[in-house]
Formats: sequence, C-alpha cells, structure tokens
Amino acid sequence: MDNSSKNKSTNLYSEELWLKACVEGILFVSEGIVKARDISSALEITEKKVYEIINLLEKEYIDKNRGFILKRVAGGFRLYSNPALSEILIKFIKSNIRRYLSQAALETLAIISYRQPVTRTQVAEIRGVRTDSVILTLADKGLIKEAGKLKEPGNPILYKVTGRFLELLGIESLKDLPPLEDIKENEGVNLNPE
Amino acid sequence: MENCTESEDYLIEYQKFKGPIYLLLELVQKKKEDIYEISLSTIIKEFIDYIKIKKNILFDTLSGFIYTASILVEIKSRSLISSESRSAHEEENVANIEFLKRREEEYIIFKKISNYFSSLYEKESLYFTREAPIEKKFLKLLPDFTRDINIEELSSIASKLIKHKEEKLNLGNIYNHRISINIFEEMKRIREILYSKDKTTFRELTFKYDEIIDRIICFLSILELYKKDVIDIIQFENFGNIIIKRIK
Repeated sequence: MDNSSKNKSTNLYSEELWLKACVEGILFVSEGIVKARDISSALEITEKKVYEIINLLEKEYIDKNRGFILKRVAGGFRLYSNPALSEILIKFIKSNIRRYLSQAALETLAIISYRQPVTRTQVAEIRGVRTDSVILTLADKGLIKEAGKLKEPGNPILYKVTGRFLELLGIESLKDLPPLEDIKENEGVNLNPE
Repeated sequence: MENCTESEDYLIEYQKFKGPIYLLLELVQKKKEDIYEISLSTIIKEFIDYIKIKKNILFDTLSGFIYTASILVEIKSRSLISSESRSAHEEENVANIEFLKRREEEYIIFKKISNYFSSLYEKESLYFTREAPIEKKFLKLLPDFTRDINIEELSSIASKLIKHKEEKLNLGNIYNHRISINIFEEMKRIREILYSKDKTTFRELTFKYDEIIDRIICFLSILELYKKDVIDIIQFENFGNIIIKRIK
C-alpha cells in the first residue's frame, strides 16, 4: 500500500475500518481461496492482524444477516452465499446443476484422504475393484494430484487430495476429519455433520 | 458384504441356485459350490439385462453386485493357475479368505467415511461462490502466481502440457465381437499342433488371430493344458516369446 492511499484512507476511516474494507475488497474480487499470507503481504500487516480482521468480518456478516458469509476452507478464506438463500439462488441462477460425485468417486476420495499418499493399486486393494478411471476423473476435476512416485518396481504414482477437495467438503484441513481409529473402534461414532 | 448388499433385491437364478450374489460367494468360499461349475458370464449377463430394464436401480445395489461379482471373478481366475501342491493350494485358499475378510472390513470402514463425505458434500452444495474470473483491473492485486513454483514443479506442469494422452486399450469392446473359437476347440487345436511337432510358441499359435478375444482364449487354453500337465511353458524374459513344449 503506498503512502498516498494510506493517508487518504486514514482521513476517512479508522485504521480498523480501513483494513476491514481492504480485506473485504480482496475477498470480493477473488475467484478462489485467499490465504492469510497473501492478504498480509498485500496490506503489509501481520498474519495475526489478518486473522483479527477476518474474525470481525465473519461475525459481522452473520450478525447482520448478510447475503454472503465468510468461510474458512482449505487453509484460506472465501466469500460464499448465505446457505439460507440456496433455494432462491438456484431459482435465480436458473440452473440446478449439482456437481455430481459418484459413489465410486467418494469411496476413492475417502481412501486417499485417510491413506495419502497412495498408489492406484493400494486404493484398488481396499475397494476390491480397479480404480484407474475414477482416479483419472478425480485428477481431471482437480480433487487429487500426484505426490511423487513410490520407490518400488514399476515406480507407481502416488496420489494425495488437493485444496479443491477440502473446499468441496467445506473443511479447513484433513485434521478436521474424524480419526480412522475412532471409526474402526466405535461403531456408534457420529459421522453426521452438525 | 451384507452391509453393502442390504438393499439388494436382485436374486440370481442359476441352475439349482437361487439367491443374492453374496450368498453365492459365501457358498463358494465355504466350498459348497464349485466355482468351476458356475458360469459367471451368464450371471453377469443376466444382471446387465436386468439393469437395462430397471433403470432406477440404486447405486449401492449396483456397486454391491459388481463388488461381489469381481471377487468371484478373482477367485475363478486364481483357480485357473495351478498350484505347486495340494496343501499349498489349501493354504492359499485359507489365506485368500482371510485376505478377503480383512479387505471387506476395511472396505466397510471406508464406505462409512464415503457416506460421511457425501453428507458434507450435500451440505456444502447449499453455498455458492463467485464463479466469474477476476476482472482485469484487479489482476494486479493477486499475488504473483509463479511465487511458489520451483523448477521441479514447473517441469512437471510443462510435461503435463506436452504429454499425449496414452491410447487406452478398451477391453469393453472385446465382447462386441463374435467369439469364433472356444477353449475346448482351442485346446484340441494346440494338442494337434504339438502332436506333429514337440514345441511351438504363443506367437505362432496366435499368428492368424486378429481379435484380442481369440488370443485370450488361446492363452487360457495354454494355461488349462499346463494345469493338466499336458504341456510345459518356458519364457526366458519378461514379455519374451512363450515357448510351449509337449510333455512326453
């Protein structure tokens, strides 16, 4: 931020109001997930400060019942429409195109996300069927990506999930998923999101 | 298995057997049915005819059937290869069932997780994002996209761009062709060839075959003859020619 814009700004706003407006502006024009680091370098403020501002915006949107909300996904932030509006928005956009993921795709993602990095064969061993085409489709959709090669005969490609995958499920990181041990040991583990 | 085929209402009717496919698998595993006597292709073909009529079939029914059928196919294909001795064969079978059981348990866990993912995904579809690309005048606001890219990543991106998609062999097509020979005829043919000379090669045997299916049948016949101790198979290197010798 150059001095002139900062001077102009401080005349009009308090520092905090100005930073809130800046972060909001950045989120508004961005088409993807924005990382705290990127905001911090654009505004020349610390990442801690970015999180403070994000907290304020997040609360403000909810408190004021805005049409959009701020979500933390895949290790960053993004503006989303308020889920309460989903029906209206579907009508407005006039499309009901639900991005569709098949059972096979979901199973493959479940295995990769818990076992990554894994090879196709390792996934196939659990699912009991070939997964080549599912893996290709998931890679094409940007939900998984290559993560090196296994040092074994044939050097099979290893795969891991991407930030796009975390975004699709609305989670910040893989740490947000219930541990595999819990699912194994406890039949009654609550796997339904609140 | 029961878990993923609970909603299964498709019953196989085949000779003396009538029931869901996982029951058939259980009987095969307990050796109450001989896998050799079961025509998997008939069962699968009838299932395909069934789903052609019943279009609103549940995905779980479909995947449950395919999963179980694929295990049966695996068991059958394993039984094509002869084992060194009877006891080794027995051991392998026990290990196989253990392996299948473990795999099934693991599969059920991941199936649970995939259901969980599905509910997260469902919930997530209520949110919409700005889909339009960023306006040109705001482009400068974005961090430099090359900032985090190192040489290694750059080369992998470049290689992805210039790599041609490998042409894949579509095995699904092989069933479209009319099968001209069957295993018994092919075994007879190989035996006759070996009667006139002591050895031949896989290349020689399949020289006149244009269709993949015919070559597969020839290969299966060779395996069957090997199992029956009629021939010996020698191959000196991977993908090398397969030499077939008559056992005297």
